[in-house]
Amino acid sequence: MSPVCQQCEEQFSLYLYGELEPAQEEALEAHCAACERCRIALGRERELHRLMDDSTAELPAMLLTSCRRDLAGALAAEPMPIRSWWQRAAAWMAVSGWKPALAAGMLMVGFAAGRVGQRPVLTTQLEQQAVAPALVRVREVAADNQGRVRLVLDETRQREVDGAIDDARIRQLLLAAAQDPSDAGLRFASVDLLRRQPAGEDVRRALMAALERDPNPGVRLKALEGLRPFAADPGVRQLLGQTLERDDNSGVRTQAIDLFVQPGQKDTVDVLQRLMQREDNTYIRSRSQRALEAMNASWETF
Amino acid sequence: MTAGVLKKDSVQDEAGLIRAAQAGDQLACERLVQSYDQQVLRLAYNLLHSQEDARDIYQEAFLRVHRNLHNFRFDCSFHTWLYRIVTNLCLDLLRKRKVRREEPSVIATEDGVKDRASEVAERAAASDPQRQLMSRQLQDRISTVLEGLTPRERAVFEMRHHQGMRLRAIGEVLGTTEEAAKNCLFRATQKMRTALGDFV
Repeated sequence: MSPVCQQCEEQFSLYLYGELEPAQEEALEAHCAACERCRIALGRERELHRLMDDSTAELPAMLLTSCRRDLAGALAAEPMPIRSWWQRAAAWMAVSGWKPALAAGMLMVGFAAGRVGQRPVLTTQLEQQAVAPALVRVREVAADNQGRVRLVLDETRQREVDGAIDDARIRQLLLAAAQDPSDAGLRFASVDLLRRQPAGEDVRRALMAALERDPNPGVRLKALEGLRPFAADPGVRQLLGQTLERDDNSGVRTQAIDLFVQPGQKDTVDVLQRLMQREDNTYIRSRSQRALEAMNASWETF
Repeated sequence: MTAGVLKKDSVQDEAGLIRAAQAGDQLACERLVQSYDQQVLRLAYNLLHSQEDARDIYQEAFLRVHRNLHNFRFDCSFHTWLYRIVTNLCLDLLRKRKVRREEPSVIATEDGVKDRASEVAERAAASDPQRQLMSRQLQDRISTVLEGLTPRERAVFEMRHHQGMRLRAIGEVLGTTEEAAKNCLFRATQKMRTALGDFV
């Protein structure tokens, strides 16, 4: 074998992957056009690459769907990432554009400068006292002739409450926490606990509200699990139909279809036919199709 | 979902999506995940040959993305950043397996535990018994070669041969040079050539 043939043979694999420099590629092609031995060897390398295609395995059906579902749950249970104020400001500036951010920044600087000017009036004693409560609002401010300041504060203190899971007071607090717009993790944990409560009207309403309106897919998935005992309720069924048609998360829709399709429920036909027209998710389509077939209903709307 | 509605301008490109996700837009974050998660799962599944391990890697990788997205500075592409996380997790697991000497040649499927080679063989072979036998032998050989590759060679081979990534990008993902990635690929294909020579 000539040195040129040997060099070409070493490059066949990279050539087939398209990883050679244009000049190397041209030289190799020119050599193979003139050398029958290398042409045959290149053909063998091509066949080897074809055989290597079989070294991949197809993803098992439903693995991606179940991974997405698990991830949605795990993300809902995650605390929000801790970011410094400047990172939040930078992110906001990137999304909103820098001009309004700059204007807001200048306003804040002006405001802060004004506050700093007044700072001697507020004593350090106040700062020490104000550390303990979770939230403090100054309601009233008054100064006397000796340079002392009197403040009236509204304070919100943290308090721990515990009780049995079916305690009415705990239930009321959980119902309120399930709607807290500021903390998805709190809503997720609250909805998870609510679904373990005895089935009641207030719990059903809270779970339906979470499924319909919560922006977090993990919370909506938990609400769906909680609605399982109410799956025959007409209001819940109507909401499940809406979820299937409107929810933008395929994990939520996947769980909703399992709850929505119940033996003997003929009210599903219209929704399932519409899903067959517009749904992209393979599992939801095949589940809808099977349910329609079981009811001897057409897959299409007319 | 009113809270997650994206502004039109923020979905124009991936950078807009990343910035929206960094600003706390959950729908943007979800879309970002869904534009890559199938590739990520395929990579993990092909490297680890286990549904459970691939599932764990998938979840851990995207949780890390969620926790650290605010630190993403656009120094590299999001794809590179994400693949760096995924391949590091996979390589760590492969190395641990090597140490524990527990490289499984079987995978869990919905129908029970199966030999990975047989799964691929069943897909590829026709009803012709002779062809089926050939295919089975080929798959056995491929499985043996794959298990004999180093974790890094396996990752490079998977990303180049099956995911179609350029060697330069693979080098960036693995924190090495294009040349080093090329050498890994060369060694991997050389081992394949040696093992599959009589099938060609």
